[in-house]
Formats: sequence, C-alpha cells, structure tokens
Amino acid sequence: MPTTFDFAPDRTPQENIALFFEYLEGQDPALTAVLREALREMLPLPEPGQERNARRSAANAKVMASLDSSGAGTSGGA
Amino acid sequence: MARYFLVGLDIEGFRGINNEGDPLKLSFRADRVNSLFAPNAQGKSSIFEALCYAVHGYVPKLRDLPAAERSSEYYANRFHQGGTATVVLSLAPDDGGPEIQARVSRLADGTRVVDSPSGHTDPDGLLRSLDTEACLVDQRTFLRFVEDTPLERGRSFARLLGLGQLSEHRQALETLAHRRTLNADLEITTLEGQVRGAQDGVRAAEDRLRRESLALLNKTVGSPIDFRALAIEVGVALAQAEPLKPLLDDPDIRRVQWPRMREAVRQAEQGDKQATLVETIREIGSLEALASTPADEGLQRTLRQAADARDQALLRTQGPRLQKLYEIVWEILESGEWHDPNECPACNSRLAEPLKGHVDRHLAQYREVVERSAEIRASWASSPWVRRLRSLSDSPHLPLEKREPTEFATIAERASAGTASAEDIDAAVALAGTLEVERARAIEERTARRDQLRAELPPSLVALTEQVGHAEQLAHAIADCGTGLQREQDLARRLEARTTWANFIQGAAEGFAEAEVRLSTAITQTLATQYQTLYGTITNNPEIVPILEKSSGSEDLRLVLKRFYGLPNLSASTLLAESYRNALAIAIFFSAALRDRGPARFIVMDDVTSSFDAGHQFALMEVLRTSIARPANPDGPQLILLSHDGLLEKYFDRLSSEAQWHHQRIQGMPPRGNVLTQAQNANRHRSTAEHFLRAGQVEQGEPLVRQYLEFKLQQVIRKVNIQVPFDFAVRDDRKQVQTCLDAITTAVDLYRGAGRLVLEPAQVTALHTQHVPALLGNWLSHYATGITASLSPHVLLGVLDTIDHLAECFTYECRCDGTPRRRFYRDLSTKDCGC
Repeated sequence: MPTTFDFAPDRTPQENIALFFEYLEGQDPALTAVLREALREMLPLPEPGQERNARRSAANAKVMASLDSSGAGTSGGA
Repeated sequence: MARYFLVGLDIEGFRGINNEGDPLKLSFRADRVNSLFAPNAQGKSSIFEALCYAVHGYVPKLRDLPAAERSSEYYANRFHQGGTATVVLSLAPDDGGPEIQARVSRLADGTRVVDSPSGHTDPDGLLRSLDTEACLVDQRTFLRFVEDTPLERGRSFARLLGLGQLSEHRQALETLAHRRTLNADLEITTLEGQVRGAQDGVRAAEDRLRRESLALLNKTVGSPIDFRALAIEVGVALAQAEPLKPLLDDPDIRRVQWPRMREAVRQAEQGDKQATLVETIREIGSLEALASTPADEGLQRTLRQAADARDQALLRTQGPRLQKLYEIVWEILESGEWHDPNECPACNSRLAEPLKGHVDRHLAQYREVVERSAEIRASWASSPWVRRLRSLSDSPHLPLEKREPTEFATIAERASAGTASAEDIDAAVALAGTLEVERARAIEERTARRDQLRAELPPSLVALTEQVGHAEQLAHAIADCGTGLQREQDLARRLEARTTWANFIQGAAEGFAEAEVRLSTAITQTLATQYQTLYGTITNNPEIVPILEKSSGSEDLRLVLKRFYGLPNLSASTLLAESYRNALAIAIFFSAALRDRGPARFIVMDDVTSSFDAGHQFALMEVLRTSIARPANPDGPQLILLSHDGLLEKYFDRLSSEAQWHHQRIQGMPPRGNVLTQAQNANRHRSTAEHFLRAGQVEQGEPLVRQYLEFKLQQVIRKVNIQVPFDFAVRDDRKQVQTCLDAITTAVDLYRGAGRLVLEPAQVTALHTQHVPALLGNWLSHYATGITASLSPHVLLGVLDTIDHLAECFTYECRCDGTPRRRFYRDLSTKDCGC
C-alpha cells in the first residue's frame, strides 16, 4: 500500500481517523471493513500486556473468520 | 462545539472535607485568573482530589497505593455520618449557553453515581469528555513528563496535543500488524505447511498415476495431465477385452464400477484365482504408494527440532501452577488496584525493578511454549511423511503387532495438540522404520504370490487381470489428484487472503504511523518558539535552549537541550536541576495546552511551583497572568491555581483587588469539622468561634478568630480603598493582622492630617483609643509570639467584638432607600452616596 496518506492539521483526530479509513477504502474496501471490525475488538486500548494480547487474539480470530467467510483478500474475493 | 469553564465546585464528605449538611462551596470566575489558598492540612488537596475523582473517576494518589492499603475505602470522609462523598461541578459553556451541573456521588459501597441537578442528559459523558491531560495538573504531571521514557513521554504529549486518539489507533494498528503474532494468530505458517502438504499429496498421486499408466499403456504421461483423456484412453484399451466390453459403454474409467469389473474377470476364469490375483496386485499398488521418500528424513528432522525446542522452552518455565500465579499477578498489576510497581502482590517482596517486567519475562517463557506448540501442530498436520506413517499404521496389509496403532494414536494425539516431545517424535520415527521393513516384506510376499498366480492362470487372463488391477489403481490416482488439487486450491485461497491481509494491515499501520509522525512533528515544531520563550521567561536564563525531538520510526519524544551554555544537543533530563526540569515541563505543557480545543476550557493547577524559589514563582505567575490565561489572553484557558505557599498567597492577595483576578482562601477544621471559604463564611467563622469560646474551647476557637480578624481588616482595606505599602503582599504571614492595622491607621492619620478624612470624630477617637489598642493588647502581643493558648475565652470574645466595632468605624448610615442601613465609605475622604 502506498504511504501517501497525511493527516490534516486543521482536522480533529476523529475526522482524521475517518479520512484515513476513507483512504484505506480506496485501497481495498473489503479489507477495510474487516479492519473496522478488528479495531472494535481492540479499542479502547488496554495497557500493553496480557489483556492487550487477549484482545489481539480475539481481533485476529474475527479477522480469520471474516476472511474465510467473505473471500476478502483473494483475487476473486469480495 | 461548546467548551466549558469551571464556575463552581461543591464538596461534601470527600476525603478531608466533612462539611456534613453544609457543603464547601467554591466559586470560580470564567473571566478571571482564579486562585485558592489554604494553609497546610486545611483541605486544599482534597479539593484537587475531588476534581480528579469527578473527571478521571479516581484519585491518582489513592490509585497508586498498594492494594494492601485498601485505598478505595478512603474516598469518603471517615467522619461523615452518611458515608457518601458528593462533588458537584458547575460548568459554564463558552458559547453563552445555560450553566450545567454534574454531580458525582461515591456511595458507601464505593459505587460512583453521576447525575445532573440542572437536568443535563449525559452528565457522565460530559465529565468523561473533560478527562484530558491538560485539565487537572499537579507537580507529578510535570515530573513525570521529564522523567518518563521517551515512548511514554511521546504518548502523553500526543494526548496533551489532543492527538491521544491517533496515538491509540496507532498502537492498535501496530499491535494487529505485528508480524510474528500475526503469523501465529492467523495460522499463516500452519496454512503454508498445509498447502505444501496438499501439493506433495498431488505429486504423490501423479507419480502413482504415471507408474500405473506406464504399466498399463506402456506410455509416459507428461505435464500437465489431461485426466479425462487419460481415463478414456484406458477405458478404450480395457474395452478391447471381450469380458469387459459390456461394462465399458462409457469408457471413462473414473465412472467404472470396479467390483463389477473384477467379477467379470472372475467369471471369465471360472474360479477365484483371478480375483486373488487382482486383489494381490491392488495390495502391491497400495503398499508401493506408501514407500518412504528421500524427503522423509528432512520432514522428520523438522518435527524433531520443533519438539525439542518446545521441550527446552517448557524446561525454562516453572510449571502450570506458577503460570496461573504469574497470570493472576499480571492481572492484578494491570487492574489498577495495585500501585507499587516494584512490590509483588503475592508475597509483598520488593524488587529493584518494576515487577511487570519480571512477570512478563516469565509469561513470555510460557508464550514461547505456545508458539513452539503451534510449530509442532503445523509440521505434523502438513507432513506427507506423517500421512504415510498414519496409512502404514492403519494398513490391514501389515501385521497388527508390528503396526502398534495405539502407540501411534497416542503420539498423533499429542502432536496434533502440539504437545509431542522429542521422545515422541523419536518413537514415531522408529515406528516408521519398523513399518518400512514390514512394508517391504509385505510387498515381497505379495509379489511372490502374484508370480505364483500368474504361473497358474492362463497368460491371457493374467494379462487381463493385471490390466484391471492397474486400471483401478490409476482411477484411484486420478481421483486423488482431483481431491488433492481441490484441497490445494482451497488452502491456497485461504493463504492468499491471510497473506493479503497481513500486507494490508502492515501497510495500514505503517501509513498511519508515518502520517502521525509527520503531523505531530509539524505541530511540535510549531510549538518550539513558544515553549523556548516561555522557558526563558520563567528561568531568565538564555544560556539554556530546549527542544523536543520526535522520533521518525516510533512514538518516542526526546527532551534535548539544543544549547546548554554553548554546548549543543545534550540530555535535558540528565542535566537540568529539578526546578529547571519543572519549568521546562510547564513551558512545554502550556505551549501544547493552548492548542487544545477539547471540551475543558479550564486548567486547574495544584501546587505546581513547589520546586521554585520566590523569584521563579513570580516569573511563572506573571507569564501565566499576562500572556497565557484569560482574561489577558481572551482565547486562552480559565486558570485555577491552588496553593499552600504563603509567599504566593501574598501575590494572590495583591492581585485580588484587580478586575482580572479572583482569589479565595479556605480554612477550617478538617477532617472532622467544616472547611469554609473565608469570604463566603466570615460570619459563620464568627459564630462558630463564638460557640467554641463560650464553651471554653480556646484551641478550637482561636484559628477562627484569626481568620475572622484577617477577613474583616482586609475587608476594610478593600472597601474604603486604603493604600497598602509596597511590600504588603510579601510580609510574614503571622504578621498579617499587624500589617493590616498599620496600613489602616497610617492611611487614617494621613487623611486626617490633610484635613480630608470623612470619618466622624467619634469614629476616629474610638479607632485610636479603643479598638486598635485593644487588638494590639489582646491579640497581637500574644499571637505574634505564638502563645495564644494563654488567652482566655473572654478575651477572645472581646477580640471578636472589637474587630466588629473597628469595621463599624469605616461605615456611615445611609437612608437612600428609606430604610437606614450601614454602608462603607467609598474611601477615606468620601461617602458612597449623598447621605
């Protein structure tokens, strides 16, 4: 993925995050949808450690299920 | 979006503030700098903690205590009968909207309840929105900023800049994109192994197919294989034999019923020998398909290494019980209930380093076992050697006592779970060796039997039988190729999706991080001039120029001295004295906080100048007053300063008569009695003091007498605009009453000498001959020496009356509205009206 995205200094963090997701959707809408789901598992972020590891495992389990069921991420996928 | 000023704070039953039924009420002005002074142990810290509890949901000092201190039981005042702590924040939106009240109660059982007496629909959400780095700050905030690791400093600075959400997203993305855990969580390595396994399976089936094709058609099959053409070609060849012709109307051998074919050959032979020959040929074919390959040794070695690595990793751990203990300790350390980072919650021993690192190292050993287990699972699941071994162990053509299916099942169960030891793998390799010998022996036996049958059967029938056997094997190989290719495609598709995801999330994390670095670097650079100027103003030392350096590859933020007495690029944390470190943190904090456009438009600062001497204190206060805070900076924040510093109070006092400043002083008798603001509660102080004194309780009454005295004298000075000496604000706190009296009598004498004094002669006489001498004799001569305990309750009651009479001397009777009332003179030369 080309790293040409930039945050706008005059935007709020929420607006900038929304812009970033718009940018990702331009790259791959299906995987961006998977990422939104994964971040719902991750945020708000606990301190680094066991709980964060558990959240990451849960998020990645969700990612796997989404990829396997939707075909996202494959050449013939969603 | 409206932002909020803090205009009021009511506290009852919280920490040191009892005030049962009579809350401490503090008012703050949005259009002024606010200051609040309290001597030590008068409840100031409780005020700051009440704000922390309302906004953060906890009191940092209590949260950071060891769990053994049971700090959660110390939020409510221990003497409050109701046991409920109540904090009410009054917030005024800066868009002129109505004032909002948010009430936070901590019930006796520790429950935190938030409601709004003013009817706001989401007071809890409103308070949460105020929970920013910039809202409530104390000495710890600044010390931490300097002493934190560059990473933690970077993150807290991002929050201060209002970029906390970006920092959090960045961390979440980086956690998801972490390559090693991504491979493990998404089972990418396992899947790669499975794909390789499927490919090996297809290749093995193709080898079988080529072998049978050569035997049957005497023809070498090339690549790619046209399965349908080959199946029809074989069917056409078989159909040349009369007994088989009726069964091959459809020459595609993939649809042939093989039992019927064998029966047809058996009938042609009129006996069972042919069937036995077919079966024997089939058995030879299936046993030959299970031959070991040159790759087996490498596959066995991979598995053995994975199992050995797991064994070693397991040895480094201390067993499942201690794993549970470490996990529980970690949970406690993470929960926020345990606040001595170096003390173990299990045994209360203390380490030189924070316990988290120690526990995490142990838990990492257990995590390594899990990772090694995954490698065993992946290798076992994908290994063609394992599949052949399983088939050999299950094969009915080998003697049961040699196959040891129970032993194999046990090993397979452990390996599939990832728990197989190196010994298990060695046992599997040994079993494979045994079975390989048995396989060779079985083929040898069957080959001899086949040859015997060939000799006994007519040659034409032997050939036909062999053709049928090879054709059946070839049909099975074609089927296996099809199944294997389908499986390979499925697995490859899943692997492609996960690999694409891995690249996507890594690119997203990288892109986000780079954008965040560019943004925060740009913002940090724009702040440089401001914090450098601010720092220079506070320290008055142009030889030291600080600079913040944002790392390009991480969230690290380094505090560097761009110039230190001519030397470039040195470490600020290492070189600067505590007061200078504090000044630097304050300068950076304010330069960043001024950018903040979050909902909180107030900054409450609790004793942030403790490390400063008087000069630096005043320099800081002047900078805040004249260029940072409202009203001098109309776009700036409302500043609320809490202090116990006597020198600073003089500064506050001096400014309190100006329109840009609002000063309050609190005193009382925490934790049992009430804490009150002086201006608001002077009469209450008087009546309470009187109550104590009439009960003979001099010790309790005396502080209130002093508060009342100071308040009334300062009231006179303010009301009649008496000029005070230049050093009025910085004189000794214990000489406050004397200083006030001196200022008043000097001014009266001056006006009288000039013939401009508006006071009635009787008032002047009473002042000079009764009230001032009475205060000097009954109070000052004792208090200044610190021996007020020797004063009797009657004398102190007299002091209360004297101060009232003294204040009366500066008032006149006004009849402007028809009803006579006492009013203060406008100044010492005029009345406030025409009366």
